[in-house]
This record gives sequence, C-alpha cells and structure tokens, in this order.
Amino acid sequence: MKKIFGLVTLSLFAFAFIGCGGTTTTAAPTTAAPTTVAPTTDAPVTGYEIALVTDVGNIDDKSFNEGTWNGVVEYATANSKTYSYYRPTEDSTAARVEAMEAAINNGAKIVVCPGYLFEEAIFQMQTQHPDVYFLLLDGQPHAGDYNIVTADNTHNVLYQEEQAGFFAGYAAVMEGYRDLGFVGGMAVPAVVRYGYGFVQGAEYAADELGLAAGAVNIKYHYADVFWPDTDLETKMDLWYATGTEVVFACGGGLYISVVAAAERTTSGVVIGVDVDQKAESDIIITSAMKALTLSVVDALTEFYDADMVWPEGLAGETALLGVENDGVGLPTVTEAWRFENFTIAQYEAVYALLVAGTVVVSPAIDVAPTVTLVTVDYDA
Amino acid sequence: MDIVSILVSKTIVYAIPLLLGALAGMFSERSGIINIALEGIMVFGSLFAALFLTRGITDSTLAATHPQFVVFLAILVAGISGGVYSLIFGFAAIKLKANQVISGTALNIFAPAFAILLAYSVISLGVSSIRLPRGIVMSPEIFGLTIDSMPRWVYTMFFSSLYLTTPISIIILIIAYITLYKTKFGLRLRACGEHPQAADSVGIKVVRMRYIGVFISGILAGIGGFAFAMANGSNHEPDVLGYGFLALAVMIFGNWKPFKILFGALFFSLFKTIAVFASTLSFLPSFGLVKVDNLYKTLPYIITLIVLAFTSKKSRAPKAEGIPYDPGQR
Repeated sequence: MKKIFGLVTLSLFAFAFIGCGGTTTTAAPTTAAPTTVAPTTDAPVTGYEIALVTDVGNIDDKSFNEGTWNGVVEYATANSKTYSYYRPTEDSTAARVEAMEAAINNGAKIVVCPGYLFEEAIFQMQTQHPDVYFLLLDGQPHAGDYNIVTADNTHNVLYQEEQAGFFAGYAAVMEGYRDLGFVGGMAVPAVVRYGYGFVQGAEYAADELGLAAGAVNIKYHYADVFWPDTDLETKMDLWYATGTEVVFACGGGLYISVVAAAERTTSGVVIGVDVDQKAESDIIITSAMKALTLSVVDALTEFYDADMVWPEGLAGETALLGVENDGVGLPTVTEAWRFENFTIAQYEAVYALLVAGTVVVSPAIDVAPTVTLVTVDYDA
Repeated sequence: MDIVSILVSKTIVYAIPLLLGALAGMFSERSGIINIALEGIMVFGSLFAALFLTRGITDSTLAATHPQFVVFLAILVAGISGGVYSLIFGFAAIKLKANQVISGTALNIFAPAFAILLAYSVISLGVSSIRLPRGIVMSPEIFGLTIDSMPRWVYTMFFSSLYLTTPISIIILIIAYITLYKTKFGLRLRACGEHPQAADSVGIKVVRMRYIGVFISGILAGIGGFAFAMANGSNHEPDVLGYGFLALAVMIFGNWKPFKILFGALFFSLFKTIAVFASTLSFLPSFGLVKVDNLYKTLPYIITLIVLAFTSKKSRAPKAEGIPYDPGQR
C-alpha cells in the first residue's frame, strides 16, 4: 500500500516537472511572471529593456492588456529590443509598485503601464526613479488627490472612449437593433465614457432615423468583474431571452460570458471593445476600438528615436487620442464588418462629422447624458 | 414563458456542479473523511479535461465525427484526474492521520496554482483560462429534432445549455443512491463513517474503505469541476468560484442523503439564478432596497441556517467524520 501511494505521489511530482520542462525559454527572475525574450544576437542581454506591468487582468485578456502588450511585442521584435511583462500579485498600488520595482531591477528602461489603476503607482515611481521612463495609458499620475503631476520621465496617453462608444451605439441602431444592452466591467472613467458614448450614439442614430421616443431601449449594467463570471452569464441569458438583441461588452475578459450567452440564442449578437475582437466569435458584429497597439508602437518609436528619452512634446505631457488622430473607431476591414444594413460609407460620414466638430460627444462621466428618444435602464 | 424557461435552464446547468460536488463530499464523509478539498479537486478535474479537449484530441477525426463521445472521454479524464489528486489527500488524512481540514486546505491552495502553471507550460505563458471547443453543447439534432421544429421556450429550457454532464450526473445520482443503500459495500462504507472500530471488529478493512470513499469523492468532484467549466461559458478557469465550498453547504443541507442533495442543489441554484435576475425583473419585490439582488443572494444561506437550526436534532452527520481511524481505540 505504502509503495503504491509513494509511486502515485512521485508520478504527480514528475508530471509537474515535465510540465515545467515545456517552457525552456523562460527565465524566472522575480516573483512576478516574466515572459520569453526576443533573442538579441548582436548585443549581450542585460535584462529586459521594455517592461509591461499588467493591471488586474492578464496579457491574454483579448482586450486592454493584450492590445498594449501587442504594441510592446510589435515594436520590440521589429527593433530587436528585449521585453518582458510583470503581473502584480494583487490589485493594489503597493503590489503595482513592487512589480514595477521588479521590472526596473531587471533592467527596464521604459515601463509601459496600461490603465488608470497605475496613476498613484507612477506618481511615486516617476520621482523615485528619474532615470527610468514611464508610459501610462488611460490615466495621469496623481497622489490619490487628482492633482495631476506628470514628471518629465512620464508620458500619458488618454483616449476618447466616448467617441468609440458613440460609434458602437450609432452602428447598432442604424443596423436596425432597437433593444440594446451595455455591460461595463466597473464604473471607472474609461468604461463610463464608453457607456455614456454608447447611449449618445444610440440617441443620435434614433434622431437621424426619426424614431419615436421610447423606440430604442438600453439596458445598462456594471458587472464588477473584468473576467468571465457565471452570474453575469446568467444575467445575459435573461437579457437575450427577454428581447435584448445586441450587448456592448465592455470590460476585459467579461466578453466571454456575454458571447457564451449570445451564442446560445438564435440571433443575439455582441459588440467588442478596446481591440478588434472579430476572431473571438462570429457573433461579434463590431468592436469599439481604441488604437492601443498603434499608440504604444508610436510612443516607443518616438522614445527610441530620441535616444531613449521622451522627446519634447511627449515628456511630461498627455496625449489625447480621438477621431482627429485615428485614436478610436470601428474596424472597417471586410472580415470585421459584419453589418448588413449599416454601411462603411455611413460610418465614414458620421466619423467625418465628429472630426469636423459638427457632432460633439460629451466626455462627462459624473452625469448621465440627457436623452429624449432612447430609454435607458441604468439598473438593469 | 421566456423568463421561466431561461430560469429553469440556468437552474439546471448550475445545479449540476453543485450536485456532483455534494455527492462527492457525501461519499467521502460517509466513509469518515471530511473532504474540504472539493474546490481544489474540481479545479484539477476541470484542468485536465480542458487540456484533453483542447490539446489532446482536438484535431482528431473522432472529435469531428463523434463530438459527444469525445466529451464523454473528457468526463472520464476529469474523473480520473480528480480521483488521483484526491488520493494525495487520502494519503495524508488516512495513512498519515493528518488533520483533514488542514491537508484539504493545502490541496485547495495547490490546485489553482498548479492549474495556472500547467496552462502556462502547455499552452503559452500568460494564458491561464482555456476555452473549450465549440459544439460540446448537446444540440437538438442529436435527438433527431431541429431548432425550428419546437417552440422557442422549449429550446431555451431544455437545449440551450444541455451538456453531456447533465444526463450523466442524473445517472450518477441514481447509482450513488443504490450503492449507498442497497449494496453490501454501501453498508460497510457507512459503517466506517459511523463507528470504524465496530466495523473493524467485524472484519471490514476501514483504511481501504476510506481510501475508496475518498477516491469516489475525487472522481465525482473532478467531473463536477468539468461540469462547472462547461456551464461557465465553456471556459476553464483556474478557479471554480467557491462552488466546492457551496457543494459542502448543499451536502449539509441535504443531510448527507443523495436525493435530498439533489433538492438542495436545485434549491441553491434556483436562488442564485433569481438573485442575478432580481434587478432586471421589475416584478420581483424590491423591499425598498437599492441593490435588492444582494438580498436575494443571501437567501439560500439564510434558509440553510434556519433549516439546520430546526432540524439539527435529526441531522445525520456521520458520527466518526473527521477523526483519523485509530484501531487501538476499540
């Protein structure tokens, strides 16, 4: 008996080690998970020059972190830079600082931080490490009091999510959908801007189509998670069963739950977020994108072109990316354009109106947008 | 009707992991071992079944021609891996006479970490959740029906979330009942959980019975974990969201009896579903609360407490559970 159990235990351990053996390319310098390195043949490896620290999600969230990570990978592989990512052990500023310290100890020259959650962590780190450079997406550093202080070694990028959300809402109503849904991860600024933009877009389309008041309904919900969740899936099943036709899934990995519910129906569809999520399911009719990958590549290019410092105009500055500089939009490649009634020409027309300033999407997040034609249930 | 059908459908699909988990706990506790490691075993079973489906067999012709048979194989993989994993716990609890709560907790902590590690090494670094292949849901075509041939509510209620684990767990439930109450083995197993010294005195091998109890428990919990992954958006996560512990509550609610456990699982699942629906459905009373769904979420637990308070005199917890067997104590 004893021998048998010894063997069982032993084989389990052996199995675990065989499992480890699969990742021969992995170096394990810290507590946070690092990743494989682009081989640099011409220079000796001194560490990982470009570091990405994830927020609460992971780099495989098919959304915000992944879009940013792809930008890092794209630039680094094209230019033979070493790169790695670090995942904080928990959702706190202290853990994020720790992960950033780990990145810097491993030779990071520039730390890419996706998400407003890093605002306070970068506020600390930018003064503690003046020789390291930071790229903050979706936020601006402050000490928790919202007095923005961006040091010269930090560059911030903000996106006008309300415009991306606007296009999503506009497209949904123009396509012919009347019962819409919005699911946000949490009521954080970027997500709220998406959501309120979505409502404004639906309202604008209802006005353009001359629909009666109350013809378009929106169910609005914050799931409090950025990953798949059984409760959310159950709720989505109910939404789709009670008439909702399309849901804008806006929050990292939670789209999996929404897509799963929609796939069980005969006609339910989903709108993706942050990056073009067309590959995740055939029923993702479009995605409200922000050009994460592009803006990371652009910023890294500028950084390295200026000999590894933030050049004038980026150092200590915040870039606001919207329709004017192709920072947001819907994917217009043929495979991703899954509308039947709404055309690319219509999309480009409304896009031009936003660029021209004829149509202004309010970025306000403290009050819900005023609507007259669309009915929004904010507690659905 | 749409609402009722979706309610029934969701209640069933989430009751299955609870039912299997609670039956798993029952087999272990009836043999005298408190299996608090259900949560970890569920993760373990789900992990290997997901890897089997996505990495082991995904491109074979078998997967294309007989998808449900492949799902059946995955269920076996889940059961076996769960069973093997539970033997580690059994070894600590039975052979080493370790504290069962502590060694079970160790397994609970180990399993999610191992699930992440293995997913990282087999799939790719940073990918901890595994998307199960499409088509594991049982479509009406399998039964010779088409979606168009039935009313929409029938489709929603019975087919929209029907997985192979659902009929299999019903069969398991019936087998569990027969095994426990109608066979010699069941009687011996129960004896080991009630009074192992007495059982030993009439020649029952208590240690062996307890190993078997834990092993069955592991098999069922492993399948339960896979059922959870299928219910949870056909997506394996290194985490079963506390369903292992909820299953223990269901088991206690069901008084360690198979059919009462079925009732308990359906009851919990129903209230979990209603809780999620509460804010969307305006006809449910809101009792003047802003976030009324939180109230509904607490209901199954409150009712469990009340039921236990009134029925604890008749509670049939196995007398010897949690106590390592010591032959010298006769």
